Amino acid sequence: MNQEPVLKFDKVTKTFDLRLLYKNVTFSVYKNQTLLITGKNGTGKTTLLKMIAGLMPTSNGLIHVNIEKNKIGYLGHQTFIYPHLSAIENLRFWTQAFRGICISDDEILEILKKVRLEKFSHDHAGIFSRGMAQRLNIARILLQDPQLLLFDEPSTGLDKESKLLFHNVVQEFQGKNAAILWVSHAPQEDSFLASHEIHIEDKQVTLTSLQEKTNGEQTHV
Amino acid sequence: MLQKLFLPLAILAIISVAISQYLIFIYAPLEQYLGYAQKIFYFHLPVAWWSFVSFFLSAVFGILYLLKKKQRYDNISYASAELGFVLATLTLITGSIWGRHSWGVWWTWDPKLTTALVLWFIFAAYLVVRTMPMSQEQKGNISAVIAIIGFLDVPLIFFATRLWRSIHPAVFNAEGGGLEPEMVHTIIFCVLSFVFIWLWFWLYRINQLEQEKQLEQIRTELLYNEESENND
Amino acid sequence: MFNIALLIAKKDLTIILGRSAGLCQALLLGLLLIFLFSLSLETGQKLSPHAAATMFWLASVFCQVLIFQMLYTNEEQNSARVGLQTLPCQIQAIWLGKFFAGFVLLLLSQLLFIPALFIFLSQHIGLHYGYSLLGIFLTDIGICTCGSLLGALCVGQSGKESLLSIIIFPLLIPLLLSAISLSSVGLLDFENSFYDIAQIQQWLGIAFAFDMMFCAASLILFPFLYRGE
Repeated sequence: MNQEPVLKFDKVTKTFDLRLLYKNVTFSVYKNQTLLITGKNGTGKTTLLKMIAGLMPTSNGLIHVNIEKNKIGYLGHQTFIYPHLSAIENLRFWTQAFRGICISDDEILEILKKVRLEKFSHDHAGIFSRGMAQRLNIARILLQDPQLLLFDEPSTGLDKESKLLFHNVVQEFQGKNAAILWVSHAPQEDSFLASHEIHIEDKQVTLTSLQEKTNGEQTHV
Repeated sequence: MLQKLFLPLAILAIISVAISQYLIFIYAPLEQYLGYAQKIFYFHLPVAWWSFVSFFLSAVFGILYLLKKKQRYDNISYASAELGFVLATLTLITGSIWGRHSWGVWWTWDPKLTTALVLWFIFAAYLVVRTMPMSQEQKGNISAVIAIIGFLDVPLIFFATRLWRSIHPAVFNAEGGGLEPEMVHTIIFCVLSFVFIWLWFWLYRINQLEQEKQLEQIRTELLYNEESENND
Repeated sequence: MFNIALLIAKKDLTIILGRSAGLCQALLLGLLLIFLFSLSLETGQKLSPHAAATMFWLASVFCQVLIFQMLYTNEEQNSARVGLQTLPCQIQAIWLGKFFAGFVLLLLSQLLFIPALFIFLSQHIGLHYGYSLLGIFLTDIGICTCGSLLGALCVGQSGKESLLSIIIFPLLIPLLLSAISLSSVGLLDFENSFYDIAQIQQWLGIAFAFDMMFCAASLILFPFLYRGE
């Protein structure tokens, strides 16, 4: 690939709470890649995302992010929703904050339809169930229209239908050539969408391509 | 490495304390109005000075920690704050006793007293923050910020309380200055020789904190290793 | 940065003024303080302007602590804080936004406390109330600067709530001394109508210096408090 990487880790070392998480991590992420981050609890999967999002500093080394900050979308299991504001007001606030533009109600309603919340557009988000709140969160990320997506277990606690909706949204982003880094609580459910895997084990971070692997298996069969 | 310094410092501290006692009770003359009560002054001034130095160092190492993120700076800042707090407490107690004897009141609205008390409050809050459950980084950051703004506040507190007092009539008149030369020698010696005790405590505490952090590090490593083994 | 700060302030004001009874609690607390203090007066007795001004600022400071706790806990419920931290702007925009919102809310509460002073503590407006208004303005800026900086560290975990008060009260002492002196100048004092213009200027100077110093300190230090997990 000759194109410029979207994201580049350059000898990144991170210690958190006196504990070394990983040392000298170097890898690059390009457009149109979906990377599933795997590893046991406490190996620093979320920390990896937080460092990319600028929420945490690295202990050593540099992370080069080659896109504007408002094109980085963070979608966690936390929903960023203000319970006292309505669904529309929540979306308008976040969109305006990220993109600096005030979008019309029609545009918001269209997105709400996509996540099947159009009936609740004027209700306070505080009454929403877990699934509804997370769908509203997905609507937020759709409106932000990012080029680099950071998923931190977004499908935790979602029912089947909402998970399906989320997978469709992921595919929509893949269609737009976005790069995705994905920490999943159920990797086996989500891995079919991934192109690469970042595995963290024994303070080492390894990047492998999943497509080659599956192709390889197919040839065996 | 620090441990090697403890014994020499302790010896120096003991010698200097012994000399101070001689100077205070035999060399320096008895104050004609206050009598023996005035002797507390030779203890009050050193602890007051060194508590102020400790708070200052706490703020300085707080800044260094925010800039460099070295755990060691955080340890030093913490040790300084703790020592400063202990000394400030002693300052307030001895100052109160002295004030009761020379001015007839336990407490008065005086710029120095108020500044000392406010610093005491701020660093009490600092020590409360230290006990809270947070990550090392966060604790270091928050503590450093409190130490820095606390120290920045000092000149303002001092000026404000001085201006404030001029509204209220002064409770006492300025003490008739002019200490006798022997008293001056004694007080200078007491303040300077306190450095040994101070350094001893300070380095001891820094060393202790460093060992504590090392133990903690080993403990978390073991904990996570155990957990990953259990998962296998 | 400025636009995002205003946006955050607008959102917070909508939530607090329009959608919840949060500010009412703070107002009631302040009013109760002033009213309870009137119990210390005997019939027909009049409180000195100095004491009345002290009560006013005590009520304001308590109110301010509640306001900033509210402003920052709003961000915690669904971790909206993480969203704010990833916004494409300097992190100080959050500090500025909370400062604006807090300033408006504090002014609104003081609009209620001032009449309470005249009603419960039987004060009268004096000749030099201009200085008092200027003093209130400068002090509110300083209080909100501090509140917005330190509010950031008092969110989330239990036990942190009272932390804001114990850190902020000692820090505010110089500012409060200035505020009390300046406010009492604006209240009519029958016994002692003496005032000293040079001293008033010095008090204004202290309030101004406090504002400047804490503004600068907040802009530098805020990112250290409001980053991390």
